[in-house]
Amino acid sequence: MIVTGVGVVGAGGAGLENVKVLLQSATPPQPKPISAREALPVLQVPAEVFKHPLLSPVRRADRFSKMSLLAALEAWQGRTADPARVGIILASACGPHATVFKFVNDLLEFGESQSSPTVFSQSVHAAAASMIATAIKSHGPVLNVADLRFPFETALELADAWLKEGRCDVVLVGATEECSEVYVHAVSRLWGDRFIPGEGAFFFCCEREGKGPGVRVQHMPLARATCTLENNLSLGNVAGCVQNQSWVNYSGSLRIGGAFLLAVAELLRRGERFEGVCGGASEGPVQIVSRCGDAQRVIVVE
Amino acid sequence: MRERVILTGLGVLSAAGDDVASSLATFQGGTRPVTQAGKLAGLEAQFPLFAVTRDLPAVDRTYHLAVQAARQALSDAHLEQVPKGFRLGVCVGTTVACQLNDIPFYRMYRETGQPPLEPVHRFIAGSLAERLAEALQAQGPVMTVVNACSSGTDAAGVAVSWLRADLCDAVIVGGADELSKIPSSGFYSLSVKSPALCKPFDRDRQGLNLGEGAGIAIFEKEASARQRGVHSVIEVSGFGAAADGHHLTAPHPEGLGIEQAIRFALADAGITPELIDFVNAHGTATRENDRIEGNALARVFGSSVRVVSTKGYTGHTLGAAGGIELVFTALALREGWISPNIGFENQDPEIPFSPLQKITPVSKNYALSTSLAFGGNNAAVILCRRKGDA
Amino acid sequence: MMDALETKLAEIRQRLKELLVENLNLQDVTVEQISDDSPLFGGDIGLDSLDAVEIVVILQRHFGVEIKDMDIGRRVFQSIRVLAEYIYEKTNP
Repeated sequence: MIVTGVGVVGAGGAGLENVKVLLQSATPPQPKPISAREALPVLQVPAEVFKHPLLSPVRRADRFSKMSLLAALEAWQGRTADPARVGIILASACGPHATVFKFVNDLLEFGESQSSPTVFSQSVHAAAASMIATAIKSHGPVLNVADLRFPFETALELADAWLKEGRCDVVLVGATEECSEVYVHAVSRLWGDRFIPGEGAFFFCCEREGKGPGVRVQHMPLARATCTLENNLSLGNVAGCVQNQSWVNYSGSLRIGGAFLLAVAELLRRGERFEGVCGGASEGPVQIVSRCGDAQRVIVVE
Repeated sequence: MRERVILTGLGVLSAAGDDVASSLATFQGGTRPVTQAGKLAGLEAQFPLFAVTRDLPAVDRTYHLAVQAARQALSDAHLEQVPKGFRLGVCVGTTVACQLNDIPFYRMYRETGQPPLEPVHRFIAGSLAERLAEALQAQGPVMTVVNACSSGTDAAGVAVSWLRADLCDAVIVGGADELSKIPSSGFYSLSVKSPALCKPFDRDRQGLNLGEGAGIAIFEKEASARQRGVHSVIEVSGFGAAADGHHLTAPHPEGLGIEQAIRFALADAGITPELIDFVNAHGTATRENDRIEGNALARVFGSSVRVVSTKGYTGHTLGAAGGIELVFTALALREGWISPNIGFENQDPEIPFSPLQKITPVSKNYALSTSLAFGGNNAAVILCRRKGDA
Repeated sequence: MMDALETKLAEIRQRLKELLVENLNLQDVTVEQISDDSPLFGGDIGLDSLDAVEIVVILQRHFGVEIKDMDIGRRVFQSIRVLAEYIYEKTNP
């Protein structure tokens, strides 16, 4: 399959162009604490992104949904397609946990009979993709995936299967991860300050093979790849995570790092060069190798 | 030539029974399983709850439900030991197990800022599908579907796509969910819970009852099963999914999404509506769902459509529902009879049919199971009883 | 007496408008723009079924008024004025 649109919301702001500008600057954004309560610095999406005019119709959307929607709309690029044949797959490791904890907080504060139905509705993983489907007026299959190891890679593989099966003509595949106080607290208790938690949403409009670089998921690295972007997810291998992955300083640590790197790979395929991230030439295939324990998944772009 | 997918194993736990045999006995018995009103500790309002009777831990309960049902299904499929090189995938749905929603953990965080980390360790041990894959030695693709109430049925669709794409030889597929205060409170706030036992499709229905459980099937390439010397009478013929694109919590008022999903499934199966013998409907007993789904079913199949909701026996098991109902649909085809829609007494003038009220023989080869979810996801899976296979 | 009653009702109406704007995230609507008598549902503000159940929670949390039956809800959610009168009635028996 091919990628015909990319959308990003991340530490650099909204837009794939912001990723390019950030990486070209070779100056990572400054991490900051998420709140007065949690001192661990994080790389959050800048606050002004959430005031984007495209988000004003979705008054109920939480942070997770807003990031997802904005990135999806950028990838979609207002194209026209048969609505019944447009699919959406949204992957995440931890989902909209900020809203989950808000709901739990309300339960503790007000009791079971006074909890907010709106907060509950938003705390369900499926809310974000539902808003995307409404926004782009699609009526094809929508799937939400929540796994810790390779949620994005498995989602991308499924998109390819849907296209080949003829279930869809276009699939919007994306991954979203957010920070919250509780999340940051857990990270800092488990791993101290060795991780900079990040957040963001990364979406890709995928269509059947044709003009444009192809994308596929496989299990073994490609020997002839000219640029390899490493995504080490092994939680125990902290040193490897920091040393081998300079890109983490631009996005924060993300379980969905493969999705951020696919956006970077797309920029590399367009001829951009980012010395601090991937010094190798990218005339040939670019691959993203994600490892977790003994398992690995490789996204190849060529 | 498209890969044929057959169903080689079944496993189920719900209030209706701790396995296939006891579930069938409940359906034949004609009475509802005993419900445990207010059993969930700390619930403020008293509503019927459909709990599993098997003694399973309260902590990590969804995982335990899932692994029990999966072991039943793998045993049924003669896959307790996974052969070397056999590509076994896992695709299961859930709504509770995908979130770190431990209330005592959060209470401690709020009050002291130093909660115990055990809930976090449990969460990062892996998603539901990842942990099942590890426990059951499944080395194929792994995915946890979190599509709210259609998760289990959507997982069936993923399994079909994986097998057609030759990503694996077989899939452990279905859904699991435990009773939890969070959806309990959430559904209460949406005013969709019934204080009485639920009455799917009934004129006087007042809403849903929550339940817990797990329903797991083994989907397998026909060629793979034949190679293993395993036979099955049930084939997975088709799958369809469609989004309403309408509203965060309310289904499309005319049920266009569920109608579309059903029509996609029929097209995928290559059959026309009159070949469907019966529908295991989503049938939650909310005013909106049953009216909208009922009318959509009547539009596709006519007002003589044979419909049953099994939620009168299980409650609404959320992410498990699609998996449990897939198993019940397969059982009906296999056994040759359909369980009645317990709880129904009077036809709703806004719904063009009455569901089946007594045990009914199956007369055709195909059956449909439907699911509708929060956020407007709709999914439909068609099973068929193959002629001439033992 | 009537002035005291009307003052109280006006306070409730104002508080209701503030709570709706804040809790329903009505981003393009100000308190001043919500009229006392326009329909809340099917009118300019564009509230829907999810807002209706959210308003039930707002009434419980901020006024201690419970609406157990959405049929009652449909009747009293007609407008700010009608809703304020219902709240007053329930809190001043």
